[in-house]
Amino acid sequence: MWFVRFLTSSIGKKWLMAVSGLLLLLFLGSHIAGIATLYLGSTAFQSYAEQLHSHMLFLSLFRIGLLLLFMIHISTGLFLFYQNRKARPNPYRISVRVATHSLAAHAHGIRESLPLAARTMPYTGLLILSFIIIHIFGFSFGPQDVPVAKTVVTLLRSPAYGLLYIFSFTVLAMHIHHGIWSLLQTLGLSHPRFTVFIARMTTILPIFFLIVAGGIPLLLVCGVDL
Amino acid sequence: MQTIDLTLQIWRQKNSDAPGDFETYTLKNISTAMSFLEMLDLLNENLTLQGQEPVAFDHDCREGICGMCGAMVNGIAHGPQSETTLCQLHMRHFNSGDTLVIEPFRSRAFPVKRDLVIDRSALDRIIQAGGYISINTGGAPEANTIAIPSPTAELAMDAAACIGCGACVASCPNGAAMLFTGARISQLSLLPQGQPERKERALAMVMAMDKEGFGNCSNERECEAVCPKAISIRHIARMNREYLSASFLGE
Ligand code: HEM
Ligand code: SF4
Ligand code: FES
Repeated sequence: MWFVRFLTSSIGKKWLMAVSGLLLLLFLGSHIAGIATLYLGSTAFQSYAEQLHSHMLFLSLFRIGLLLLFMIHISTGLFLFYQNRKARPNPYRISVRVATHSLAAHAHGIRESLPLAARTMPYTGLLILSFIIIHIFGFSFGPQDVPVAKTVVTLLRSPAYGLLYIFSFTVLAMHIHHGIWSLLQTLGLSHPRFTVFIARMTTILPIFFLIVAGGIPLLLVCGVDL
Repeated sequence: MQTIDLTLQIWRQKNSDAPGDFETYTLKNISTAMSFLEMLDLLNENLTLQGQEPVAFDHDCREGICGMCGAMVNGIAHGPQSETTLCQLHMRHFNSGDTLVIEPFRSRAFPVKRDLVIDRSALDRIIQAGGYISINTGGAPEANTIAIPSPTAELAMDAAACIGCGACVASCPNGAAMLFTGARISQLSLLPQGQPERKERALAMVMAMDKEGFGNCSNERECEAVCPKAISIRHIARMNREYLSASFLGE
């Protein structure tokens, strides 16, 4: 069937990565908007959490969709990683990276993503996976009799937990730094008119994410009351 | 005449099945006016005089247009000079006393035949799958019967500059052939003559590429950095669009 043929082709698998990555990014955006209520205080955050949990059907469907997205993104990513390793069975004695940016971006004196971020996608991805597991066990499956705002504040106040969060957000920022550009290129959205805009966004969006999300554990670890 | 002395560590392998290894040679009095291949010729003359097997390497035009030459020099396909084939790389870019590690282009799809010679017929099979136009040309048409805007012609020409050397595959961390295939699909999809077979071509060429066991692009941009013809990865983006529309809207 044409659809199966598309999805099993090299480019089809890249499309799977890009579309699932894009949807995960949209989820990330909504999640960040939600947790940003913590800056308004624990009460605001608690009422956001209760709002969310009052729509149980919607939340369950959302979670199933999210789980599906993660499974598609991770399994396709790992399969591609495996295939790519197989494509060069005999490694080079010396292997040097020369690319610093695409030729198109170079013409504008900018770059889309750091080569380091591009190279480490599978590894940053797996670090994010371990983080997500810790994250879900700490919060979603956390104590049921305490308000979730309290669980969050107590956990993130501890330096080990807070620093783990800040580290993981940095890793995630790296992952989406390359991811944003990579997904647009994979989707074929490449046009001279947008080269500069895209290259700016791949840096601005992850940094914005890092400040908003990383700010919470940072403030809590520093002893600020939220 | 200015000359340099080099230490060369070259991959030697008898045939596809034999295990290979690096041999070290010292080569003296290399004229800086020589090309990289002429430097290898000099080495081979010396080896032949000493009764040893010369180093096998591919070459044909020696002017950067045929795509036969190519090797990794200190980890960079076609050597350190950008937009340059190995045959057009000159020894003035090296310093006396340098050590050069020379390896064949490596990919599962490019088996080593001997020393630095590889079998790149996988790229030919991708072309055979659809990288052409089948039209019964008949008599020569009037010039300019098919008008092509000059920017479009330029863009197609940029893609058509690909010489099929395989450096993109060799330098890709994933061993992907997407710059090569993207350039070939782009070139014909941009031109009016390429329209009738546009969708079939995208489907067939990508399928042929996948069958050869190349890796998958992860947008690391290494290919375009070493491509002797500076082919832009925009052509990969165009291939991705072509393949999508052919998959969803093709017959
Ligand atoms: C949970 C664990 C995760 C793993 C194991 C993972 C793995 C990967 C891998 C291996 C790639 C590179 C694919 C390639 O090299 O072709 C990738 C790309 C990408 N990832 Fe993730 N990832 C994870 C989480 C996420 C999250 C949470 C997001 C979004 C917020 C995300 C967004 C992206 C995007 C946008 C791309 C680029 C897609 C493309 O290449 O076109 N990933 N991921
Ligand atoms: S795209 Fe460039 S590097 Fe790849 S085969 Fe063509 S000329 Fe060589
Ligand atoms: S020998 Fe023809 S391109 Fe180098």
